[in-house]
Amino acid sequence: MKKSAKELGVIFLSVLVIFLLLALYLNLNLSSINYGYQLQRLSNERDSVREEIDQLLARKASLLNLQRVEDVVVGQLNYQYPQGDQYIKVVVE
Amino acid sequence: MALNRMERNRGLVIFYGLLVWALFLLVMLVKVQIVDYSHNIFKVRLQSKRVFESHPKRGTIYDRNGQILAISVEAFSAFLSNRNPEQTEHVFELLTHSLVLSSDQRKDIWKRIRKGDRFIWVKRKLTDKEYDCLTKLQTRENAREILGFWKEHKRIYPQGETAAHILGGVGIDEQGLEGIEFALDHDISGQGGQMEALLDARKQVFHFEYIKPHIPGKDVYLTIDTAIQFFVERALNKTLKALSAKGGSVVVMDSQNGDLLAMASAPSYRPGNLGGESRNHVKNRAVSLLYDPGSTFKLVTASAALEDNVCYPQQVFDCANGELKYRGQVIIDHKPFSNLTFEEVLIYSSNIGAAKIAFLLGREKFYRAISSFGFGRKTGLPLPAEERGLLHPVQRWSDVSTAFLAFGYEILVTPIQMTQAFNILACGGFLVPPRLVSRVGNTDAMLPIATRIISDSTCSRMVSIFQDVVTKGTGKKASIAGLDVAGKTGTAKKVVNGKYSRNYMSSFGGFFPAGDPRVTIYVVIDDPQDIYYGGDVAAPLFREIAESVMVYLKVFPQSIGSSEIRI
Repeated sequence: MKKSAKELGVIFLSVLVIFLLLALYLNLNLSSINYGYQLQRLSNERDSVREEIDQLLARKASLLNLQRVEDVVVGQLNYQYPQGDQYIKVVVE
Repeated sequence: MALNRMERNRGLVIFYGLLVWALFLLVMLVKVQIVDYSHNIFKVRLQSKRVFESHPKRGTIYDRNGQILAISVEAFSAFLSNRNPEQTEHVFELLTHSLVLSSDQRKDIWKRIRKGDRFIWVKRKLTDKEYDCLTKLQTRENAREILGFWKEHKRIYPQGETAAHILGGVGIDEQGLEGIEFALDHDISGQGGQMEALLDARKQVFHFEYIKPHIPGKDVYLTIDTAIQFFVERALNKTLKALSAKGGSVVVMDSQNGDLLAMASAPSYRPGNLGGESRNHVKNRAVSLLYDPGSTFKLVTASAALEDNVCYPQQVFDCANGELKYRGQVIIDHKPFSNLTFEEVLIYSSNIGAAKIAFLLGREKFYRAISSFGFGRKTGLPLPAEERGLLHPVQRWSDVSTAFLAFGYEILVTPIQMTQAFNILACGGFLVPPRLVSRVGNTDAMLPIATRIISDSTCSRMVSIFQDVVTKGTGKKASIAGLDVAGKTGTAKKVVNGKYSRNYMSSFGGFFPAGDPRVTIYVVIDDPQDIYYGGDVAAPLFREIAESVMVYLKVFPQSIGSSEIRI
């Protein structure tokens, strides 16, 4: 009877170990799915950051549109283009 | 405490029961996870797999300083999912309050809803404001099943009309239609990929892999300088307006390497609105305008004559007091000249003198010279509309062809060909093909190969004569105080209905500083009213552009008199 209990214990432990190993395998599988979600989320985040950068670059370029700059500088700030006699050449001797 | 037999047996039964249960679970796990793994994965994929087509974003187009000329950004397009026409009509009625649609567009959508079309575009590429309004409407009316949005890309040209003809434009599906957008469409648009994704019950992606890799569009770097392009377009438009001219074109080139710094055509258009523009506005005149160049072409006649030693600079030509009858045709000068030296023929632009120079050269040599200056063939710019011009083979020349070609008739050229020809003098006798694209993606574009066309001595002599054209000849209005400018004027009658008319093409080509040229500029104005001589129409525009470019590129005059401080 004593021997039989020991054998049962070994069987039980073996089953438990296999069970744990399978659980670990399952856990890894689930983790990989979880990583899939994370990867997708990060990929979306990267794309949206890239898009935001492009939107900002487009906005910056529109603000630097020379026609717009000229309209502001000449039209609103009343600056004038320098005339021929206003150019002064500085010669460093 | 000793257990009795009954209790022990009960314990064993429970143990065996649990063991069987655990073994069952184990077997099932092994079956699901290992034995039937492939089958199960196949079933999962069948239920949750979706294949997405990925549409790459077009590459950005930059100028030589990294300024953005064209960029794509995300935009949403609105569509109706028409399962129930009554509900769809109700939603569409509401959304017309937030969206600007033409009456034709509205009628078309109403018709399609009633016809029962399942998918109907409402508006492609909404503005941010329109998208906000429609998403609010979608939420408020709980119309998620009816009104949908599709993410696309929208091409933006932040510089407005600047460099419109170079950039071209794209269609509604972001396909290149004109200009660089069309010519380099394959590189700029990239290649769409296919992505296989696994979705869960909430339609969230938890796994994805590319079946076909997605190749993003390449960025393109142009040799154009946005600031110079802007100066040039502004000056050109001002001149056209002042002279009520039909159109015009200006090309600005780096004299040493052929890089195009600006290439303007007028009338212009907004590249973002390509579909709504007339062909006349979209036409890139710098590469596709064909015309008789007139006296600017004497550049070729004179250079070839000097190069072949058929005459010398002080040789005198009888200019027949302004009218020469030649084989049934009459050659006239813009004013009567008696005797002019070779140099004076160019300085005062005598057609009769130029014809006599060409006679000394002979038709074969003349044809070879014209051809070597790059006429009759494309310059090789990556622009779809470039014309090769028209240069008849010498066998098809008439008795008077040599004479008329000498002062720029019986040949059709484009402004870019003329710029290239003038640049031969600026570049020490070498023909350097113009370059518009400096980099595509990570690959630098090849530098053009320079070919010697005329010798150094011929080139120096021609530059000196062209300086005189500006200081004392027909091109006085192109002169800039303190700066050596070399150039040549041109005035040619236009062909209308197969005959030369009283409409003119006025042009001026030149470069500066003449001693060490940095910039070559060619200007042509189509059909100016009231005044039409190249020296009166194109030369002042050349000067205006040259002055702006000079300051911008810091090419200062050698001396500017009193406005000079020495420290």
